[in-house]
Amino acid sequence: MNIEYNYGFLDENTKRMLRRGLLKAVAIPGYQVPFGSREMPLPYGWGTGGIQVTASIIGSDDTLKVIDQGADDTTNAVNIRRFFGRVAEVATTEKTSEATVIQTRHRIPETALKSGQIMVFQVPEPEPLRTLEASEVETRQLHAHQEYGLMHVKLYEDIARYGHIATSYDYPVMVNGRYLTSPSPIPKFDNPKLHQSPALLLFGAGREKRLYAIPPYTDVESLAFDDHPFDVQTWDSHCALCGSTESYLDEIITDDAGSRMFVCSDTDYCATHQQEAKQ
Amino acid sequence: MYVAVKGGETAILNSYELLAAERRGDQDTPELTLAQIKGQMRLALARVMQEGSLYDEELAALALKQASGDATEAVFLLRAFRTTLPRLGYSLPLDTAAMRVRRRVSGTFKDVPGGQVLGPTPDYTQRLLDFTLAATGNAPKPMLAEQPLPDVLPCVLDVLGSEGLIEPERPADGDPAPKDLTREPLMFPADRATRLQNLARGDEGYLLGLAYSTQRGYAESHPFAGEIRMGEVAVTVCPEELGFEIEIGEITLTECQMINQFAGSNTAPPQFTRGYGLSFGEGERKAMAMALVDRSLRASELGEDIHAPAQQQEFVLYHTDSVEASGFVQHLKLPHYVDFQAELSLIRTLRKQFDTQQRDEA
Amino acid sequence: MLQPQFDKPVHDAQCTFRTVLAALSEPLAPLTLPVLPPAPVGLLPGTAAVLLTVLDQEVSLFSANLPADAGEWLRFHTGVRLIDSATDADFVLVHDGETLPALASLKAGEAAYPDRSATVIVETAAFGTDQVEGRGPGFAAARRFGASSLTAEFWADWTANHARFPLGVDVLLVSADAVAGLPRTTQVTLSIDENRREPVEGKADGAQAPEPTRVGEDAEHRPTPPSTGAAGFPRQEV
Repeated sequence: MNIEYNYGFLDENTKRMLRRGLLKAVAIPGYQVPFGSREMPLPYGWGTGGIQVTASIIGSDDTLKVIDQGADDTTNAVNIRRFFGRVAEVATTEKTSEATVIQTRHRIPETALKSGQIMVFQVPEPEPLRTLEASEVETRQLHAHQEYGLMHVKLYEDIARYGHIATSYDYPVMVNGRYLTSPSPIPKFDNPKLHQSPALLLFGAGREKRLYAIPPYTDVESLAFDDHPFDVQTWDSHCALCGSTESYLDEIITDDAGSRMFVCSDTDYCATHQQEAKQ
Repeated sequence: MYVAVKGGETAILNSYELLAAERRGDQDTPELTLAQIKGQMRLALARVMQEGSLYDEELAALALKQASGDATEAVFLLRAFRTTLPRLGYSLPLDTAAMRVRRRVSGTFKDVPGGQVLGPTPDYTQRLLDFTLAATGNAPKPMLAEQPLPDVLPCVLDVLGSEGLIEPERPADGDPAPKDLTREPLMFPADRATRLQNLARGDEGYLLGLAYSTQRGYAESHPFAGEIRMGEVAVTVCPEELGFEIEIGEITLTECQMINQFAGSNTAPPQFTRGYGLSFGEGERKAMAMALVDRSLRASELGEDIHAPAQQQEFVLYHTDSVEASGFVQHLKLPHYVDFQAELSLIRTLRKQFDTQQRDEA
Repeated sequence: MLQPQFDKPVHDAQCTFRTVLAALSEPLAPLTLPVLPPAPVGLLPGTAAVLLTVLDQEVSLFSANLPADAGEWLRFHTGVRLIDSATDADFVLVHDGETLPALASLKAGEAAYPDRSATVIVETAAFGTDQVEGRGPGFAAARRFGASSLTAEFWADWTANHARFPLGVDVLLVSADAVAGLPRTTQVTLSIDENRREPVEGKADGAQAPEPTRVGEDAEHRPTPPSTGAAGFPRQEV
């Protein structure tokens, strides 16, 4: 038994179905397009949506970067990069600036994206209202009528109870002033990077079988109230490796006594910064 | 000094080798062959083919071997392979009435036309560990009946049908072609053909639990096993360019038709209603569970109150798939450092607020 | 003898798709198509490339005047269903010189599923900058645009289409070798250029019509994104 897979793993019909879906997704920013998600050779929940989107757009001229939690060397990112190296014969890179396609789970790189780049987000739950309303039939109607009161109430209750909004990642956004959208589980630190991004942002949810997009130069507002404006995480420390005070930091526990340090979650950004510091 | 961990790729490659070594086990024991799995693990094979939506004993045996006997993982392997296969055409609907029956039982009548045919069932064995199986040996040759079974066994439900006491089985208006859930997303409300397709691919354990719940008051269910039949059914295609039918082989199927009491509604008379289950191979537990859940999902169509989980389309159908469920449950072991960091700083903030408040109140 | 399709179907469709995706993502900026297949009579090479990329047996195409050979070519290479009714079509092809169907008569999607809408492919001899100024998602700054096959009536119709958002149709404008996108999000104002002239047939005046750019080139002048003010969410009574 020797099987030769098609370029990009997916068959051409599947790619066309995905491509038509992506065109509609771009035309209706933030709206979730249902699509006939295929079973991939990686488990659902591990990036099957992102992988299908990447497989439908990628070509031999592309340079692919894959990150998970901001890092190029986490096991799942390595595995996905190997997959595309094998089925799509693309060049791969860890440099944000050299990539034409960046597939990501849970982060947007610190290095500003450029026009012409495409970010592909892996999305576990595309429906921002799902935790507030379990039924898909209902949430579809809420989007149809732009009825987002449920979310306002939830955020307002947070403020009443804690004095601020208690959502730290997957923080909901309004895209192009119309659709309430999940930015995927990126920390809210990354939300401002979605607004008027020069890059095309594509989102794939394989298990939930939905695609959506944020075209370049599109308004993306993180929900907030006039008296409780949106803000992002800040740290008292800086990166212990590169010294950055501007990047998103991961906390590392260094011994049994609970000593800890903070380092950049974006490994490419951190390495570049360290190089610059040496020179 | 902390150094960021590198070398994920080497670790992954090493894990492949460890996995292969554990799969093989003790090298002094002969390796399992696919023929052995096919020949002696037929029920495991049936489940993998059924939930994997691919009738191929050789590949199912390979998947089981590769998955070290983990049925859910084997289903996943088979599905991921299936998705790459080109769609050459569609078969004609299978005719289970023309099944070459090896087993046919009914719980509704003591005797039925054609008789009760037990076939190869463990139902009446005493579940005592058989230590003779621990050694190798040849199975006894079964005694064959003096008369072969008739070519076509009439379905028990037809008896009720002729009296008008069971709802007739009619295709939906216009007899539309069923959707293909492997190529289109599940949308709601889902018609019965789509629901059955989803249940057929669904995890047996999940369906079994749901079916059980309908018997324990979580749905109006008064089921009887109208008929269960197992045997071989011909698969026929009719290529457009040829214009005539060709039998391309036969597959083993288990079909279950449940009969449920129905008191009637404004538009329908009191009568029995049906629940339907179908499974590849000898998959009786799956087919019966599927039939019960199919019936409970017909609640809205029959004007019944919807109050139980097994009656709720979205709840039932969104959670049947073991490949989706297994992937998403297990994705929690992927790194979530970034989200966790975000939650950690949030909890610290909230905790500080709480402690301050407590102190102020004290 | 039927014309062949793309020389390398997998890779040619991939890079054509990327061009179409880029064109729709940054509307009204014509992009050169990277591969042109041999086209049957009745289809511009650019149109042939786009159709090979997006069509298959799962979708339908309407075209009022499709030569039989071109129809057969499409059927053979894509499997698309050719239908007689524009109102039911997933894709509507409009040749240069044909009257566009009223956009409101085409599939616009449903409130819960606005993606179930038509895509209109309009052939044009040339692109220009003399008809409208567009803005919306995909515009770093307002962009001027024109297409020789489009009329003032079309742009009036487009304004109504845009106003139905999120319902509506999306348009791809295709020349012999380039494509420009016009998604339903694009808002246009008719150009107030004093020197405005009717679009001309054939090659557009070089001074007026910029050469289409290739995907990846940064020929477009990209000013700083406009500031949109404080990220305020409309205050709600809660």
